[in-house]
Amino acid sequence: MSANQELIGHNLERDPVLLQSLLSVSDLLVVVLDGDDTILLFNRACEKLSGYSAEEMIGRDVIEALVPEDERPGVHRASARLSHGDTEIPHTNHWLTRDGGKRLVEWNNTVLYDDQDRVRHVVATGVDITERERAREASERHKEQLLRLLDAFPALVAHIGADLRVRFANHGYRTWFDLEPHEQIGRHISDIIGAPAFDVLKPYIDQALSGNKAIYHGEVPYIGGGNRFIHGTYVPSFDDEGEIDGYYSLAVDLTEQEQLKNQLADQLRQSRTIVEKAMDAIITIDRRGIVNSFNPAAERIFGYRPEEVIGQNVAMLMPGDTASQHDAYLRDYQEERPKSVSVSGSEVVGMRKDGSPVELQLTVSAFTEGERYFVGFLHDISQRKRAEREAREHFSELARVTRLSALGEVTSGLAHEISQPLTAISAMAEASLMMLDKPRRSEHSIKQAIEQIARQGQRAREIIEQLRSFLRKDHPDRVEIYTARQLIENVLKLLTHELELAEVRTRIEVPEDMSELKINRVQIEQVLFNLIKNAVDAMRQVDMQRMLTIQCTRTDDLSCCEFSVSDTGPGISTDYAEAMFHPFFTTKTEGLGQGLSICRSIVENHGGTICGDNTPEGGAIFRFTIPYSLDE
Amino acid sequence: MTQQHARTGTVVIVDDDEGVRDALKMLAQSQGWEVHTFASAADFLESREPSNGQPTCLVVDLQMPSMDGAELVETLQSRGNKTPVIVLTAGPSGALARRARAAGVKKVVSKPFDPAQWLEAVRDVLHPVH
Repeated sequence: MSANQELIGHNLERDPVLLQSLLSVSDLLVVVLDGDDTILLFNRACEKLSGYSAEEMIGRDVIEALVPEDERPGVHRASARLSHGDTEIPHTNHWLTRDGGKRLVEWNNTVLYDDQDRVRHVVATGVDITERERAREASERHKEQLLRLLDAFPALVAHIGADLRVRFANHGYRTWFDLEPHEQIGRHISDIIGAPAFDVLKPYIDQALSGNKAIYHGEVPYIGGGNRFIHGTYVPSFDDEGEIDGYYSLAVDLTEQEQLKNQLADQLRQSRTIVEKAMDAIITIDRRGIVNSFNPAAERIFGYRPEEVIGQNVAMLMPGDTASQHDAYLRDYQEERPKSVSVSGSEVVGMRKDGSPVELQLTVSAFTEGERYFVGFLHDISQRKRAEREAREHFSELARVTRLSALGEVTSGLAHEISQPLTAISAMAEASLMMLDKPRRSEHSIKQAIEQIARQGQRAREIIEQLRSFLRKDHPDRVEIYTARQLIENVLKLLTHELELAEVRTRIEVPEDMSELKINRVQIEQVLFNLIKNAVDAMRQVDMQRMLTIQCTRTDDLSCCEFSVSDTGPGISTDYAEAMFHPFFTTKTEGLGQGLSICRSIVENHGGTICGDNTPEGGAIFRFTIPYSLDE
Repeated sequence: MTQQHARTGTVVIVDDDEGVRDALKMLAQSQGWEVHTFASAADFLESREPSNGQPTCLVVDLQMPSMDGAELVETLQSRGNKTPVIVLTAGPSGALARRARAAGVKKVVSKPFDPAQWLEAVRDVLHPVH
């Protein structure tokens, strides 16, 4: 004890007022008790803390008055120990305040004894540690939260000492290595992650331990779980003196992301390969029609290099008439139907670099990637179209051959049909010559004869004309406008004599108001020719009244013109009902057996149908329809 | 046979083909024969049959609508009409020609025919050479 302190001690003993003042200004809680815990002194700090005045408290049992009931046994025990010789007992307990609150106080108790060594006073000095305790609890809580957070972190978080032993490891280690965190504490890191993984990471750990943050991004062959792709960060940790005492490790598992990335890259490569290897041209354009991709198939089809097309308007790949409309088409599309575009399989004509046309089948779909794009898939159908054209030409040729064949069967009749006017002409000419020998005959008669010759010549010419047109190699795509009556009359010109020879009477029933048909005339005439010829041939087999009836009506729905050709022959055997429309089917000794097959093809090409049946009277009736609007 | 003698006679032509009918008429007239023409069998049957006492030849086309030539010939035969008949046909071997022959026609001429040949046939009917 210094001299100064001794002086103050003397003064205090001599001056109780000074002592009182000191007790009053002190922040320290000071309570003086007698041996029975009765309050003798209750200083100002105690008043402030508890809210009770010294007057109120002096003379009261301190435990009864201020200690919460649940803590009283503990306080009593501490008090008892003081009575039994312990001179200084630290103790922490709560005080209940006047306003119902609770304050935690850390006490230091000193016992003063009297001459007989009995407890005279207990001096308790205390510090209000409520706030400190709260702060400590909060800190604990935060620490716990941090740990929980670290555990919840989908990553490995660890603090490893400089000796490479684990000081802390979060929950991530449990899932990665199937180890409880407490099993890991104190173990060497290479034990936990396995030697191969440790070898990979060692340089980065060393770098962290030398004071520099290190990052590893790549695969690690972890023990047990196979390779993982990680992003690992290794940061040095420092002790209180600022010395490196280990490192923090944070490892994020990117295996799935990496796989996904690789998968996406594969898919991208794949779709790029598809686009590049595609047989079809794939061209993308923006909403203004500017090309921004042009695949190899497009190069092949159009003959342009991608760099010649990309950045240009796609209209350069179209012939003039389409090209000029395309921009307007795109604009209309933007304005009217911005949601979807559906051009699916329409046939269009493109233009190659050399200016030649190429027939294409176009499918367009729109997609939005920032702005709107269109992708066009173009399939080169030139070959298919050529094949179709050839097929039509072959059909046309086959039809012509069968016409020739059919006509061959009526040659004698045709010859007569032509010879009829020729007979008249030669008779007229003969008569005229005789009249010229007799000058008294009037010129009038000769004039009449010559007029008749001209008329008969015209008649012969018409028959030959019809014959020629029937035999002409027709253009497969030619469409002409004719009435049903014209078609029937044209055909009868060729068959009149055939009918006469077979002694067949003909009835034609065509209403006056029948609409015109858009048809390939020669082909439809061929159908009529075949059906009439078949009817005549059939009727030759019976020895009764022979009647051919050709009728035209509108179908019930008014969409088609229905022709029917009926006869009074023996009818169709049910055995042949279907087979008769097949190629090479025939019951005759003459002909190619193509007649009805060709008829069916022709009618179906025109969008109609054909069928054969028997009339109630037993003859055959063939009906075929031709739609009025072939091209609508 | 004198020229004068050869000119006498009447030719009646029944043929639905106007061109052929007119041509035959002119040809017959050029021979000085009297000619009557009919466009159908019915027209002919409704007419008053010529009875000028001259030799008469009936020329009938077999292929005609409504009543054909064979039916006409058969009708005449059934009425006891003995006028000699020449039939014209595109099918000399057909059923109509067969029936016509059965009904006793003088001659079946196949169309087409040479005008001179036809004249010869008519002349033979009008003035048979005995």
